Amino acid sequence: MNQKTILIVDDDAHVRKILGLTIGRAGYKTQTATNGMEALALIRSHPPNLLITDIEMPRMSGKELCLTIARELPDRDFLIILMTSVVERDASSWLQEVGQAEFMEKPLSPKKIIERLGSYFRATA
Amino acid sequence: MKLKTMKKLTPLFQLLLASLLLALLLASGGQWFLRQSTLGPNQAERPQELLAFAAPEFNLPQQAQTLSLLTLFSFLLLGTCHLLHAHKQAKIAARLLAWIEKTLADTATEAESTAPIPGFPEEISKQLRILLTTPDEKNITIGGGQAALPITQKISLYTKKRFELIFEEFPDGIMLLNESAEATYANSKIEIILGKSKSEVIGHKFHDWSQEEVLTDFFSRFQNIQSRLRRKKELLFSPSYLPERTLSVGAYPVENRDNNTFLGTLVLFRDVSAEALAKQARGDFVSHVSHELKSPLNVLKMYSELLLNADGNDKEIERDAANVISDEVERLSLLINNLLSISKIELGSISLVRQRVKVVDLLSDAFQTIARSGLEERLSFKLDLPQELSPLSLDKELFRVAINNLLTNAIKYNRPQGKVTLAAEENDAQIIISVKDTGLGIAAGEQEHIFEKFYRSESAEVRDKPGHGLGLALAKNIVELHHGKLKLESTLGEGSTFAIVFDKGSTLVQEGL
Repeated sequence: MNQKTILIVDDDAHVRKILGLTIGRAGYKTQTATNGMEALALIRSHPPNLLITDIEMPRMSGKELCLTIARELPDRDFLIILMTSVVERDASSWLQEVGQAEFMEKPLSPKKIIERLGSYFRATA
Repeated sequence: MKLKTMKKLTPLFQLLLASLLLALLLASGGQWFLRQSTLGPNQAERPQELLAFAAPEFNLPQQAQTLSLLTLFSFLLLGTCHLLHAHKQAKIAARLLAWIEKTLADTATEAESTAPIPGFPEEISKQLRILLTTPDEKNITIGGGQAALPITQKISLYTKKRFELIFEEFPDGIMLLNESAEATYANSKIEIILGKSKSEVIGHKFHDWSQEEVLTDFFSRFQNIQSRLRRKKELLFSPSYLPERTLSVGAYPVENRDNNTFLGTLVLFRDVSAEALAKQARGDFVSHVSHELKSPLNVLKMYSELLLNADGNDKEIERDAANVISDEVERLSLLINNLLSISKIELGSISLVRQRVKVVDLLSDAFQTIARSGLEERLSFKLDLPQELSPLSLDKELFRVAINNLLTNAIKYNRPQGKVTLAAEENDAQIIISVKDTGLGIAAGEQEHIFEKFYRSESAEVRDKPGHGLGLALAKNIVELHHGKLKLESTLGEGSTFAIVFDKGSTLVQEGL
């Protein structure tokens, strides 16, 4: 079975570490980035199978990252999960523009993240 | 009084008494006649009552009424004297009449004087006096033109003027629309709000003077509006010609409830920019706080779940998780304390507990405590204090928080093997406490924001370090609460110096001495 690559983007080192550990233990390959700019560089060279990103980050926010991906990779086929403190009221409008993206509200449960990854990859298999 | 007694009285006195009685009789009859004669069916249209209704603060002088009565009496007396050939008495009566006429003329002149009516500007007072003292149907010059105005119209004009003056003093824009949504009145504030002159607005429909589509759409609802739709409506918008402002428009349909007729719409324009900014600031604050609280909670949740599911085989990860949980709890606790302190200071609900403090001792103590936490980074620490400093009147606990925040930052944003210096000096004018580091420094463009709540540099090196962007904001608030200033000198890549400056003339220093 091809190992799926999950890209984790968050400026908090603890979050990158625990998600990397949890997702890695679930059998996935992980990459990490500290902000949107770094993530974009990785995506351009090696698009992941799924992207998990924080929204509030320096240099490029999660929202800016998603909109840039939607613009540069209109045919992308990977899901984007946005980790958010509060779901913005007007988020649905730009989320539709991004396509194939959903919110997960903090505090996150690693167990629920693994379950979501599993259900997504089973559905797209 | 008996007839016999009356006959004993002197002829002159008899004349005086008879004339007075006749005058009183005629005056009473005259008043009755005045009350009965009306200009219209409505009782309120009688001249005197009209005046009282329109200008309750403006009454005809009582003196003039008394003199009028005496005039009547004097005429009667004079006439009676001539009839009875009482020539000597007639001369006295004539002199009395002349005096009364002169006094009446003076009173009329005084009434027509240019002394202003209280509460009205001089020009308006003049016009009002003309209105009130001009007899009915006489041509008057008013507003640059001549017109014959019956008394009701004069009063109506006066009342209208009064209300217009009140509306002009209103701080907001006021407009009246008729049933066709055409402006029939606008005060001067409208010119600033709509960017149009009053002459361009009054007498014109809304689509002639409305420059904003949202405003045109709003006013279109008040054109020939049906009774069931006559409700107050409100709109908030930022005009394209005043993009930094937020305006509130409230439209209130006005109806005559007695006969259910629609009279028009009262429109109020208010500049609510300050309220909008405050609301935005509150919203931003809540959003920031929510993010800052949820981030450590996120870490706590994930690591605690890891520990709960641990099988005991990976001790290193479990120990790491426990340490992270402990650190995040401390970080969360510090955040909440900082937030509470800042909120209390900004709300003014914090009260300083001042005492005479030996500054050298306080600084030394803070330095020793904080310096221990920087040892892992292999930093070197220097304490550069004079033997003595003038004592200051400080809230020791609170001031310690400010010093701790500055020292913590100096350690956090430093480089390996960097340097932290805590220094103090005193001269004739000032006491200066400074914290210097050889760390990352702050870019020139960011220095003006560095003391704002939740502000953190965009630099990846800064973002890699934990922080909420509240430490410097709180330190600044505390220093300013003590009537000091917190200053910054910094060069990107070389380091920063934060200086707390106290003016020796301030009570802070004086009370400490």
